[in-house]
Amino acid sequence: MTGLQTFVVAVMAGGGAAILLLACRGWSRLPAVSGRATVAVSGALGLSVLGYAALLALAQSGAGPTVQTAAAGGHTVPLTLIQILPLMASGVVLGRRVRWWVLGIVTIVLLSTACVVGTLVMPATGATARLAMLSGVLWFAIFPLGPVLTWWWLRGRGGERRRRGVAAALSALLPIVVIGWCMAVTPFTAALGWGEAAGVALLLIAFTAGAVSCAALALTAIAADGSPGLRTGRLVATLDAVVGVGILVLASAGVAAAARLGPIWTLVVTSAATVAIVLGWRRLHGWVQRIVDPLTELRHELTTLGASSRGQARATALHALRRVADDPELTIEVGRPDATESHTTGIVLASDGDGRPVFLAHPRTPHGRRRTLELGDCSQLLSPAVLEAEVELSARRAEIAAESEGRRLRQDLHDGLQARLLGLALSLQLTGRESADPGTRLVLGGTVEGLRSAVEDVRALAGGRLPDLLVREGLASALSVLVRPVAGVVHLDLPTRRLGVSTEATAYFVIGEGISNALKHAMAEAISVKVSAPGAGRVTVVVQDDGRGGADPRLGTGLRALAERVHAQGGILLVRDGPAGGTVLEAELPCGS
Amino acid sequence: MRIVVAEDQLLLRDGLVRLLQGAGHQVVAAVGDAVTLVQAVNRERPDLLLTDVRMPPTYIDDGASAVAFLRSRAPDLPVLVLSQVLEPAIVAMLADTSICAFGYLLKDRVLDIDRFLEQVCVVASGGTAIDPMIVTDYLSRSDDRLTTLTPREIEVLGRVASGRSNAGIAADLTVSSRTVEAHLRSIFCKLDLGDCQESNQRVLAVLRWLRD
Repeated sequence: MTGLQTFVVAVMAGGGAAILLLACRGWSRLPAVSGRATVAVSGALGLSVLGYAALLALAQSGAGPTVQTAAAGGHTVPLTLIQILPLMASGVVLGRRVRWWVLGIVTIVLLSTACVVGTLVMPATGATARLAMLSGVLWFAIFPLGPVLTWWWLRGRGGERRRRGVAAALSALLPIVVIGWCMAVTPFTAALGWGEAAGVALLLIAFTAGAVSCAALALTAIAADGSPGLRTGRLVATLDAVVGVGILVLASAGVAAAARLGPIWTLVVTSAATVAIVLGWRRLHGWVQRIVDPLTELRHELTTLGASSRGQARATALHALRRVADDPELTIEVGRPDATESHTTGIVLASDGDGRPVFLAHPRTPHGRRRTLELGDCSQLLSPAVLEAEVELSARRAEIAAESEGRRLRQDLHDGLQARLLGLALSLQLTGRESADPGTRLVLGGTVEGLRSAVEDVRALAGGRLPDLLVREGLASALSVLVRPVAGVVHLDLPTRRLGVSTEATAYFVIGEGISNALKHAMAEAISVKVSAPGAGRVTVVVQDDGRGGADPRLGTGLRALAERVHAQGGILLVRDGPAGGTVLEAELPCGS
Repeated sequence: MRIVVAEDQLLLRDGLVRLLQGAGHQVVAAVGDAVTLVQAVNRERPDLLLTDVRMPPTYIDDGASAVAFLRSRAPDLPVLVLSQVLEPAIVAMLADTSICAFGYLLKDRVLDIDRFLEQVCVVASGGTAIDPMIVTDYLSRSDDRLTTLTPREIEVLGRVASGRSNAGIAADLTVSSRTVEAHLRSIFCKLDLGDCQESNQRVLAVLRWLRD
């Protein structure tokens, strides 16, 4: 045995021992019973690497032909195991059944080995050549299986599972890197002018490193919670490293191939590889980060959706979150909430300086919930949306203050006026009663009636509550007055009977808000209003327009206030996009009559 | 009857005083703000308090707050509240403890002098006088316990709530007093108020109705 051979065998034995140690450690800390088989397989991998090292040592010390043959095929068992191991880890982490896949891989390896044995025992003929080719094809065919399956299973996964799945899928890439290196190493060393022994040594050392990394990643995937290998930074670094090594292997194969063609081609190929790596690396690194870390994915989605125009920050945040959480029904709640609101179900994504939630997400699916929880604190990313909500809230508060001040002034004015009119009327009424002259009483009676209707008018003006017409004559009359200025656009379909004052009032506000939104925001050209009382005790109000749609009750204060009003009445308000575009505002209200 | 009148508008206050005095009542104090109102009631212990809702010092609901305070100490103090606009929330607040000897009317009702004087007497004698417009609003709501009543019975109950006597209701509906009594018996029966005195039944029926 030469010094180099001894060194290589020592490295391999060390690698095998390291895998065994990792497996023992994994066994003692294993959280789930389902991971036992995976740990056992990694133990077997450690043993097989050790065995391979021993066989090589024996073969190099001049053992018999059986040992020589066994040493030549010694890589088969560990190489098969590093293909099976990631699949098993991935199955444990992502809840997939992998038994049949493993069985398939083992079967194909056995078939391929049988073919190889066949070529050894049979005389060299055309059939032998075909058999050798078949064994090669079978052998190489199974290599892409592990990476394809593990990355395929990773799609749509979020949170901790995704993290662990990435680790398993990373380990599945290693057999590819190893086999790529095995194929590249001979021409590479030849191009460098190194001997065959050096090539074999490089091959075996890379093989050992690949086996150790594969086992370590697979065991990390199923490790106990909080394992340091599962941290985002480490996973990103590992993925970077695996991808980087893969590129290096490919580049060296390219260099080796080009070296045979002459110095010009070598220069061209190396320059091209360097440029590709340098230019592609940033993009590749970003992709790697997004694969591992949902927060980076959110940042990417926010950037992709474009620089949000004024007033669109919340809509952009909503779309980005829906994509990241993979939950199309997810809703958000932005802004400093009032003390009366409770937030038991929302996931806090951003808080203000005092730790009060200012951005909450409400996922609708368990899967979306997991992925949203994984995002953690996104205060910085979501601050434009929060700022927008706060600006709007302040504006709204100012508006409310101005409105209430205006109402107070109006009421003060009218209260005084009304009481004065009433005082006059009462005084005249009393005088009339005291007067004996029928003529005087008649005149005074008429004056009192005039004053009484003046008092009613003043109250209607000052009240600011319900339009008098609505109370007196019902929804149909009040609405026909309301929509008179836009009568050509609005089509009313109303029941003829009365529905009860409070129900009619709420319906009136729903319809008013719906029509005004459709005209103001949705640029609608036709609005249909339908009020129906299909069953006893319920009234349905539907306002539908042909505008541009996209209304969201969580994003608009008008709709939110309306929803609160409907809710206070014991009803439900729904806002959705219509089947043929536009917005549908639908309220279901309890009805008294 | 000894009455305290609280109304911040001088013209209307004078009219009310004149009206009540004309009907033979004694107005023991006529005040223009909530603080003086409380002092006057505590001093005079009147048979009835007739008060506005919005008055000094804050012009929000000072009259109602004063009434709530006074009735929390003397629940049987008869109070007739007059208001510019009807706010069911105020009725709910003031009628929370007891609907006995309580009235809540729109200010315009004072122009129907005879009816108004009748309502004053109803409230002073422990009855109830709720404005017909509030009654109409309540009637239009869905209400489990009232669904068993016929429309005619609901109409009668509404008039009971606004403080009408049986004879008055009979005159309003142009039916005989016996018919009204029959309706009332049916209402008390359906609302499960069979065992009480009739005057109590009337009050309880109205109370149940307002609570729901």
